[in-house]
Amino acid sequence: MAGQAGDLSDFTISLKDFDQSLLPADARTPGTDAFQKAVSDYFVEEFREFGGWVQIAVDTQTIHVRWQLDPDAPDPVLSLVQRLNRGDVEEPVRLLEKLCKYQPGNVVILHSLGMALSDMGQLDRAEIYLRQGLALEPEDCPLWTALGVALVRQGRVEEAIAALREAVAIDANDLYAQRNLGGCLIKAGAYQEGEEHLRRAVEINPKDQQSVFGLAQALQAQGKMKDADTFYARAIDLDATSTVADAAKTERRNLAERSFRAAASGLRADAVMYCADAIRRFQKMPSADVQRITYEVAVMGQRGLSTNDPASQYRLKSLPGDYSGLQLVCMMYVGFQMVAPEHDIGFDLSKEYQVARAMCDGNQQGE
Amino acid sequence: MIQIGFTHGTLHTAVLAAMVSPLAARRVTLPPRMELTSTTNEVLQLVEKTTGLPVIVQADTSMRILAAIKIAQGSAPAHLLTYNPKVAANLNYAVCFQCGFALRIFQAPEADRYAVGSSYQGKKEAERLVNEHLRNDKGLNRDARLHIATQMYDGIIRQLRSMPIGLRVDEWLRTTYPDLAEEQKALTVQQLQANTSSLRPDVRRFTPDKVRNASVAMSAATAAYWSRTWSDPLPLVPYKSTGDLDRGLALLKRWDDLPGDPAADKQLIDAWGVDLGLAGWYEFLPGI
Repeated sequence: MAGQAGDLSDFTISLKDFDQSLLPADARTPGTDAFQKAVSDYFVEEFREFGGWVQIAVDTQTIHVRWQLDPDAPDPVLSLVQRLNRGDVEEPVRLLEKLCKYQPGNVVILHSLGMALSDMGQLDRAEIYLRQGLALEPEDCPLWTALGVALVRQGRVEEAIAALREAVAIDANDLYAQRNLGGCLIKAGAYQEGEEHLRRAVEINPKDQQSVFGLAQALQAQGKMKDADTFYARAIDLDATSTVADAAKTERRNLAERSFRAAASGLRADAVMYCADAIRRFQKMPSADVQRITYEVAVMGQRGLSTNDPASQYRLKSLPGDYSGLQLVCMMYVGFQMVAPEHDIGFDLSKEYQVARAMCDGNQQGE
Repeated sequence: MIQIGFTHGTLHTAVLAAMVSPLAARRVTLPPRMELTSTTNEVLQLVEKTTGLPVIVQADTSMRILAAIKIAQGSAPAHLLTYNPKVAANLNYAVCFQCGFALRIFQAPEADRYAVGSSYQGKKEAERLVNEHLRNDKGLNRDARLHIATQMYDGIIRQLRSMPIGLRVDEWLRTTYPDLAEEQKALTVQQLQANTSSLRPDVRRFTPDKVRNASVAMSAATAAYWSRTWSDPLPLVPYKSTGDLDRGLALLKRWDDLPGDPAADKQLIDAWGVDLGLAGWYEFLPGI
């Protein structure tokens, strides 16, 4: 049932004892269909919040009401929480707020409302519910965590850090507390401490993509590029189709390009040669083959290609041979220039390409 | 005044509990005896220390109610606590609840100990109301109406005696012995369900408005107490639909406003009695 008063309510009252002021004015004549319907509607509404089933039998003398919680049905609060978890927000929030009036001490309701409203961007209200919950359960780690999240979403980073420190102090093994504290610390510029909490989060759940990504960011912020790249790659591996993975891919490309440019000032001769080789190779191929090879490299590049390690070798299904990461990136760049020049692969090889193009064009003119 | 067989009933409970009781070994238990928890034994010992008499705990399959305690009077050597085996898994709470009644009587100063008895005025008033209410019911002769009036009168006085004090006992058990909470909840839910029988049309048919309203108001007050305790509106639904909830809430407010000390139990019963229009329907008998 909704609360604790059992899972059955079964009572019969005399028709004349029913408080007719509870009914619409035009439905107060016993024996009429309107009266019967109004009585039924009244009890249906009274029991609605408890879930389960209600049967109402109205005859000429009595009203029999039997409500029973469906033993197979979930608790109404939990059912609403499950709907929230599925992203169905508006109605569950409305019903939970109604339930909250009856059960102001129900921490599950306060917590759920706080998190849902926080996700809806109603951060002031979220904070109120979460603080009410904490007044009742001051040692509740998830409540402190939710409060921390609501605060950081308002830009109140220092307050968020304080709330999340409470959460971590209560339960150092809580993934969300550790991850969010790490994230807030990065936001506050405390990268090293942020890294510690994010490492702990990754230890708690090595498959938590956001923690892995956050750790990569903490490392990157401290200039630990190689380690950062490793964790970005791991984040992509965990779910290559997620938005987190997209962000990780972007970060990896940026890291690779920065590293690529840092390796030599001005033009990268090796890249010029790889581009020139790709131009020559593709010029002799039907555009469909160029497209197939280019896309295969692009797919492979989704999880990152090592452009600074000539020892790393890759193979393609659509083109025999072993290739270095930089070689494939050059091949992809040239391929897209030929089949979809408007596409930005996120790795700027324009200068190397122009030189290679000039070299190839010059060779062609000389042939 | 009836003299009672104990000597230190006015001592504070906490002091008594701290004393080593020579009576603990005197408790009589008769087979078949279901397993009692350490909490229940603690409560039984408290009764023994407070009253100076042992408690006999005994099953009784013939009982129509779940449990009862008969306080030792005169030369009786022990209190008799009987329970219906139907209480089954909730035995510990049922025993502790009855003990709570006994404790409250003996924890009150001697001058405030009481028994609620019937009054001539109350019985006659009940007879008159029943006769008026059923005067058009040709199927009931004078004897039948008298029988109904007696049953109804005994019932409403029993309810007045037990419901407000029962809530005090429940409050004490709930806050002092949380390990009883599950059993307390289970039996209370049953009791709340049973209380709604006072709304039934067949009961209503034989019950004058004054008695019906008093009975339902006390049931509504009990429902309101548990609704508040559990933060659950479900127990209120029946009384809300009949317009009786406000009377129940008024009684509960009276219950809240009066001191929770056992010495004030008599005052509490009297306050409810006045609120329900039952003043003069009962008498307080001195002592136990």
